[in-house]
Amino acid sequence: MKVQRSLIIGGAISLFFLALASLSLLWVPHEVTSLAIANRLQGPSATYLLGTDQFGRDVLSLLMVGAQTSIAVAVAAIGIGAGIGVPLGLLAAAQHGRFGDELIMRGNDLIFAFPALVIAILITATYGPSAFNAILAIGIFNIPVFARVTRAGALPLWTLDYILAARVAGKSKFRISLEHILPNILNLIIVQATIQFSLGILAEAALSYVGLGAQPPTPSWGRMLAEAQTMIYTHPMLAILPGACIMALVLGLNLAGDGLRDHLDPRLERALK
Amino acid sequence: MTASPRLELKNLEITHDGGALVSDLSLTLAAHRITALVGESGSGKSMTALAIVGLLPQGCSAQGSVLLNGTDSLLGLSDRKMCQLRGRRIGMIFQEPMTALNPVMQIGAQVAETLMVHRITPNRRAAMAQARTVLDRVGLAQIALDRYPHELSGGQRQRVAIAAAIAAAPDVLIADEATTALDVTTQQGILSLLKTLVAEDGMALLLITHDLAVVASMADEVAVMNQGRIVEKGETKRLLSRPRDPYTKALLSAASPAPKETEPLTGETLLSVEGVSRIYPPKRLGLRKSEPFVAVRDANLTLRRGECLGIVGGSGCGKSTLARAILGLEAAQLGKIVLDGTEVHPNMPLENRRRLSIVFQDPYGSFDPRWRVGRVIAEPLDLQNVPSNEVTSRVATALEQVGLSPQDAQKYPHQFSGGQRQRIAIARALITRPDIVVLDEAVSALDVSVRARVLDLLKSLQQELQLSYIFITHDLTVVAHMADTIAVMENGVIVEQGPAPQILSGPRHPYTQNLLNTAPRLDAAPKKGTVS
Repeated sequence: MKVQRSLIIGGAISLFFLALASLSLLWVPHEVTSLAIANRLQGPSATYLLGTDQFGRDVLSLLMVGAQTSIAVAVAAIGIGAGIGVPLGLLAAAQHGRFGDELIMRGNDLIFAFPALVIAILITATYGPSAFNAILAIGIFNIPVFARVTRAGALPLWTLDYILAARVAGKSKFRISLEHILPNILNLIIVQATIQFSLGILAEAALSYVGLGAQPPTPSWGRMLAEAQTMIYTHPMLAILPGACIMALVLGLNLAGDGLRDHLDPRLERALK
Repeated sequence: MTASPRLELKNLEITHDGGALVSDLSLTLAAHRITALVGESGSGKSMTALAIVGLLPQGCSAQGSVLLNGTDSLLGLSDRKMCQLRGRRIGMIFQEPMTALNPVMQIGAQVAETLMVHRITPNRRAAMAQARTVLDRVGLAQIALDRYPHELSGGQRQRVAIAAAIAAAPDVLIADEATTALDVTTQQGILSLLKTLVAEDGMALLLITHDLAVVASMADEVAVMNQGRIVEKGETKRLLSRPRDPYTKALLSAASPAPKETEPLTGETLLSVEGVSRIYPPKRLGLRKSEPFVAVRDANLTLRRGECLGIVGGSGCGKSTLARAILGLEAAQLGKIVLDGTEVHPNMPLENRRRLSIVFQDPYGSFDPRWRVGRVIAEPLDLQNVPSNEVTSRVATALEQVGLSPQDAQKYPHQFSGGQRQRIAIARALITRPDIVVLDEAVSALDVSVRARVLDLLKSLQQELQLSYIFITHDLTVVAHMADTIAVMENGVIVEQGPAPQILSGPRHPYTQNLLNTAPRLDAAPKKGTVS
């Protein structure tokens, strides 16, 4: 099967950052918690490949650990969103047209009705800024997205003959949802997860930028941007580097999501069979 | 009269990736004449139609010659040139009246579109006036121009599609399975409309179909296609009464299965349906409430062991709803269904579920595409507490019973043809050793030769396993071949029931009479479609 070009490029970018983040768990060029004011604001050199910031920390190491923070927050938020949203969507589709369906979908509408980032700020402002609260805030807003995608994918399946055959065999709607519906809409959910991943990276960066994400000394791309803001004319690289990382990863994930959607498109699959 | 050739196909070849889909096809369509192109799925008949209008799918190419009115060659024309011919000189009607019309466009505008694209009428108003005239001609005089497709019935929609195709008075009209998706009575209406139009306008009609019975009453000339070649061509009467080619002979005998020899039924009563009504609750439409919809009203049926009960009716008559109630999928609001002394309802014990099974119409939608065939067939046993080694052996037995090999359990459904898939569906229905199998249009989607083999299989399985069938269909020839007793349904009501020979030879109810009279028959005399 021919693999989409956007999937290859997007996948390569995303995997590069994932590898960088994984590497940072084991090894970084310089410890990011050690401050060395004497070495502050150096340009790129053999010791400091991308230079140092105003506290003398190695920028490359900061970016690597920052990638780890961003990805961890986004992945955990997807975990919350998909973990709650997908079962809700399956339940709504199984209950289609009845009270349960209405309740779930109107609850979804309620969450959708609030601007996500503002509520995220509200949550972190109320319960204190931390990476955990950022995860919670972003995760809650992933729930209705996954619930809708799951329900929309599951509804047409419920009218198919093989579902009816399973019901003739006496299987419960719960069991049919797990055995037949979920495996057949998994591709939809994976594509949606990729897109939510990139949105999660952006949301985490935005929350950190306003100081409501991961707290110092944990490095994060958004806070690196915020800290570099005052020096944007004297040391522009300190702002450009984390900004470029955010942009590249979001772009990579979006490309991968688009490519994945085309790649997993059941119509395409059938045509090739 | 001497018919002038409108469209001449000479040595047409269609290839896809080097493989030939159609080879050496020559056919002449004359004015005032109906030529039928008959073949089973994959025979290349639709590809031929698409080649004529230059709409072959990507990767396909056509060689040979296609001449319109003896001079203009159609092959190799630029898309721009073809656009000027499509709709103007060549009209086309497709199978599916649901998708052939634009759902958000008023029907008047859809018919007028052809006229305006080809600048036949000076302005929009004239085009709409012309559209009105054309819609009147196709029998939609009562239907306003500003109606939308979803407000019309299937037959009416197909009439709109015909109106759009003939609006520009084309020289050639191609009807690709144009009546296949319609009920028999509706089909009859569309066919006679096409015939009248050919007679009045003198266009050449290419009728593409898989149904020889349709051909019998319509076509002047028939060409039979098999595997991309025309195997036999000739005048309809001659071809149907004295076919020369072995394939044509096989097709004809498969298309007219012999009526069943009935013997008196002696088995005990297995299932009885007593005064069952299935009512759907009213829907809320904004502030108003719709009327409750009665899908089945006061149905009474009995089924003996080893009996085949045919339930016949047009689409939407409630036959499938009744089947769902019999299978215990949905509860009946009134009356009861009794299986061997115990009542059938959605929460019945698993032991009773085991005794009922179903085979569906669509051989493609019936299986989870991600499951292997072995798991598909074994699914009804999942809840039955059968040890796993016994499941494997029962799957193997079921596959052998339906004429497949036990190794096929490892394959995926998409690796099988339509007929083989229907065999898999039958294997799944047999795995629980049921007493009653509901066959819901189980052979309607199959080609005639495949259908004949599946029907034979069903008959021998019935003998061997003492099965009772509930055979739901719209097709009277099939029901005559299979059923011991017949129930005819119309609008949710069983209007007539009794032994099959009695219903088929002496129907009492006007609906049954109409159904029998309008069904296309192979022995129908081809009426003259020409006007001199």
